Amino acid sequence: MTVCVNRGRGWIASLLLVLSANASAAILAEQAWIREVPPQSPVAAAFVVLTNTGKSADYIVAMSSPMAGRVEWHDMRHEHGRMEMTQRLRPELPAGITTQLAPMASHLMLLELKQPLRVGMKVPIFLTLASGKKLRVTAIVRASD
Amino acid sequence: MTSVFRIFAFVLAITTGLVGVAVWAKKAYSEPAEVLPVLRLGGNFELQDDAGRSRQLSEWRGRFVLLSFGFTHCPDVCPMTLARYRAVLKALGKEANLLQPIMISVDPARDAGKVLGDYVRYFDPRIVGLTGDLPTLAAVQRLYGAQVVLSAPGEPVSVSHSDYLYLIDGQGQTRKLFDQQASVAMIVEAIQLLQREADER
Repeated sequence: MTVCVNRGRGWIASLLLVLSANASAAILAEQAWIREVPPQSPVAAAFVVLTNTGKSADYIVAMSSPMAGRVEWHDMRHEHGRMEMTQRLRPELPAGITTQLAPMASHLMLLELKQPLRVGMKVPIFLTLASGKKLRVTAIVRASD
Repeated sequence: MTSVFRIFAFVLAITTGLVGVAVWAKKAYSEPAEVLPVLRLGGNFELQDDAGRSRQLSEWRGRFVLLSFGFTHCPDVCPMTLARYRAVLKALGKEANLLQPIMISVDPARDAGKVLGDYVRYFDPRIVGLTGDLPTLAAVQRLYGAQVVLSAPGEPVSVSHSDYLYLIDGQGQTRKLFDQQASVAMIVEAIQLLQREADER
């Protein structure tokens, strides 16, 4: 499930990346999964562990998936006796920090699902970073209790 | 010979005493007289299922009910709750008929009709989805101390709601609240506790 941003790029592109301002930034996406939802559900939540192994912060400036109309980063918090969900725009991935998107905390929300998600299905999610890189995350649909 | 017999008798008496104390201690500490208190919230309500039929909580008297509030556009908490319902039913096995899991949708505008029923039955056909008009739902939420906030008409739709699971006994009394950290085993244990209580009556 580990995905490296540099995968698929040629060595020239890699060299340019090394020379760029965010040269040291590399984002790893691991343990990506989507919580099982009924086939008629228009939404689903994806969870992933993102690690910025570089020396400078990066930001997610756009998110997409071929299986959803929109993808948004949502943070959950327990306040006033209820779960509240807020959208985070341009989420930061601080240098050297692992950011966990986990149940009851944060998720990538897939909205306007284009097809039912079945357990075991692999769903690609693309994260465009401020550094110009595009990260492909493959999330597997899992049952949970 | 007599002294050997005396020593043997003494050792036997001490051993018997220690075993007795150990048995008593095990019984005293591993089988506490656990009783779930009757909580001062909850009560009967009348809502509609996806076929438009009126359903009251009192309909399930004599069985236990697991109740939660949710909605079908909920990506994290509600599918997790419903998957937990499924796991609890599975864990109860043959005793699953003791339990009726219910999710009340607080978003009737989007969960009217078949949508809610299909959604909850995906997880297990025994789960019931109920909803109603907003004033009726507000009254049920007040009864259960549930916090629900819906966005105002015209604004982007957002729903936030309490995520507790309520365990209701055979008399319709709320006996335990579980938060989302509660394991399936904890819920099953509480249901079995209520069953033992019912059996002793």
